[in-house]
Amino acid sequence: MSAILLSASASFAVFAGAEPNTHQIIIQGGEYIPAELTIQVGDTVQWINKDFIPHTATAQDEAQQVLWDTGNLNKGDSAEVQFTEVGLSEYICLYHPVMKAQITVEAVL
Amino acid sequence: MKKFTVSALAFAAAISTTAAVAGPMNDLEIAHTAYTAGNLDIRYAHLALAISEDATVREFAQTMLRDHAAVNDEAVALITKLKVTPQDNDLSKALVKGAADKRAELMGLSGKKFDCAYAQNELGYHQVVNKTVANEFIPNVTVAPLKELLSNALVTFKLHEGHAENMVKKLSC
Repeated sequence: MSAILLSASASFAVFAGAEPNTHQIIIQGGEYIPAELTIQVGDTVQWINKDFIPHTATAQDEAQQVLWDTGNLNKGDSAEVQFTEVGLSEYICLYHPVMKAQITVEAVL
Repeated sequence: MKKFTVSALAFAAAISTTAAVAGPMNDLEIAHTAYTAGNLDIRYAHLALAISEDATVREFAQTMLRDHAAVNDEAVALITKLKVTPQDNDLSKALVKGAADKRAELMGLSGKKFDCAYAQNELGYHQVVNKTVANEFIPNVTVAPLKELLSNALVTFKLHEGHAENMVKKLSC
């Protein structure tokens, strides 16, 4: 699963055949809302932390190598990741591994 | 399994005794005890970082430092806004005494023995604290912002309880 961490001001890459969208996931009450999200390749996902404790959204492979990571998100912080490959991306909060969610990236039709 | 129940039972016994002797705690006492419980867990975490070399234990301890500091920052902001002073009370005193005894016990351990004792204590501590916050503190507190703070804090502490449960399993204690 390839993904690119974007800053809030970064411009999106252009993918032929579709306009990339930005999707929002709220972190609140120790949960990612929604916990399951389906997007199209080239889309961007933005996480916003509304809890007063820090969180991350981080995908790792079986060897615990980081595939993509929002980095530390304090209360009110946000971060964006652009998804550039089709596939299922499961992720956790590095600080609270009981928090789990997933993003399904589909091909552009 | 025997050791972690010591501080948890001390906490539970203190709550029971305090409630029986003094009646329900007021808002300022609840605020003091909740803040104290967070600070005590921060002290356990500092001890873990000083003694443990286990990555799982150290990551958990770092999370306790980060989260309890954030919760306590919110608590300080609230009491500053409300212009009130939390009241020390018998339960807070009992918690401080129980935690001092537990830290003394933990400081005599090292390696896997320390890791297991710390992990089991964290699990027991969060189980009892969460039950107390949910069943005693939140229903009894009267000021809405404090009730909201405790409710949000409980969400965090439940994450910690699940995390501690996984830590105990991973350590195969």
